Amino acid sequence: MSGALEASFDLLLGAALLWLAWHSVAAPQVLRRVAMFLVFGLLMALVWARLGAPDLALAEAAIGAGITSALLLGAGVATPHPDLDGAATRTTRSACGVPRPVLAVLCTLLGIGLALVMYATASTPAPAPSTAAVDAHVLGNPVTAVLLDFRGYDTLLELLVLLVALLGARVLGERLEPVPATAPPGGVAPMLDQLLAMSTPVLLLTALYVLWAGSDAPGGAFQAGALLAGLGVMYSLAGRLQPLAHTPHRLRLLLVLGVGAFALFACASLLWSPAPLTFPARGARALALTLDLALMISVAVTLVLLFLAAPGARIGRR
Amino acid sequence: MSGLDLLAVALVCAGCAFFLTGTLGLLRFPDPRARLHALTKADNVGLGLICAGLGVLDASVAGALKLALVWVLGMLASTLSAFLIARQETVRSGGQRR
Amino acid sequence: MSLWAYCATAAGLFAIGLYGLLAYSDFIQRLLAANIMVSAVFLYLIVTAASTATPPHPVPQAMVLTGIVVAVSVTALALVLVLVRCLRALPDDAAPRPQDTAGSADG
Repeated sequence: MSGALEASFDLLLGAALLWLAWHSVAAPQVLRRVAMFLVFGLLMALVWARLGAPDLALAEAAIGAGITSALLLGAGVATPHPDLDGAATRTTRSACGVPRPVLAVLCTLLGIGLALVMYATASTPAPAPSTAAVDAHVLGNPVTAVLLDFRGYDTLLELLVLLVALLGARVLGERLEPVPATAPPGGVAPMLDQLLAMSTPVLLLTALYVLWAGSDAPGGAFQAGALLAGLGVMYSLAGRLQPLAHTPHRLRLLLVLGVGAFALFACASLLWSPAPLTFPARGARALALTLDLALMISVAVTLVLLFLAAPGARIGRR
Repeated sequence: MSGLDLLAVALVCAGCAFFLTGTLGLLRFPDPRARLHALTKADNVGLGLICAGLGVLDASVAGALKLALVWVLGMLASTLSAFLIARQETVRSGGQRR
Repeated sequence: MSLWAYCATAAGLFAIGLYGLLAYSDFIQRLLAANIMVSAVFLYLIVTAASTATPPHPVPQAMVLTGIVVAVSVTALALVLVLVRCLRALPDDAAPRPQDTAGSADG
């Protein structure tokens, strides 16, 4: 009985995801597509929670649904998009030359084939590697332990990817005038200031809590950084974050804080171990918290600057 | 299933019924302001009932307080969204914005 | 956890994303489709991890977390590119203007 109930819940979730994905790709207006994508991201977070990965659920909701949808909506509004009318949706031409019905059939066949292959490989998997080393780690949350200790190199490179994306956006964004593109036509709503006043302490506290709890419970630096980035997006929408054409020095410091902390850690860890990026025997929790804090700040500032598509920003009314 | 579990299930089902009604209003009401009525009122009550049901299942004060905070934050966000959408609708239909 | 339901979902998401990527010429539509394909791959990764052990093994979870952050940075950079191109900020941009491609029916 409970097996059938679980299966029907999974089936419902999967069907909803597929429906949302289709509309996110094929709906006529940009607004509708991005809204569908937002809900798709939130349902994905539900799927992660269902599969037993709560850190991923938090990250998907904050980064995958929240920040990505904000970015897409900002760009979708700022660039010209002709709304597809009836004739446009019934066309059979496609961008790659293959007519759309043929493409649809091919993609369906590919989907069926992929499903069979995925099911075959997932139902007869190799025996899972042992998690003994991760379970014995000082940090109680295995994902944080893997991110910071066992796969610290991957996290360092991930931070570098974020930084490189920001540098690329900065170089390109220098050609754009730093227009506060988020100003609504009627001016800023007064209620937005009230909401900012109420939600700044709440979001700050929640982000710090998620950071702190990430050592032993679901949470972590990336989720906390995304929460702070959401706060920054709200500031930008309320007109209290002005994009600048240059990056102030303090902002540069905050941007490289994450990479710098990891680089320092890599060099310092040679003092107590032949391999870099190894945690010491004592002080592991304090080190993890420091690295997480630097990570959170860097991720938050980078995401806000990517949303603004400007080299720098400062808090202040226009 | 104990009495507490039954109560929790009843609360969550009632919350889902409110959400269903709100979605029905979203799909069937004629203009944006009426749809906002459906969304803000019905959905927030539904959220409150679901949070109450989950709080009953959790049976701890800390968990119940956290869920109450979730409900309050949800109401804050939906209040602001509704206000902004209604304001935009006024601007779009040529009325006086305030 | 129903394995076949999630495998079917992941495969279906990948197929929908691929169709959206190939069939439409609007850049943001294609970016959305690419994001959906990314989600499909992550789903398959975690489904494989979750089918062998509960809770799922932490290394694929960390990989997917890294992947989510990388996906958002790629999306952000791509959108800045789109903004710069569409607002004609690049001086020697020989690509067709958005109005020209929008004149064709499938925008």
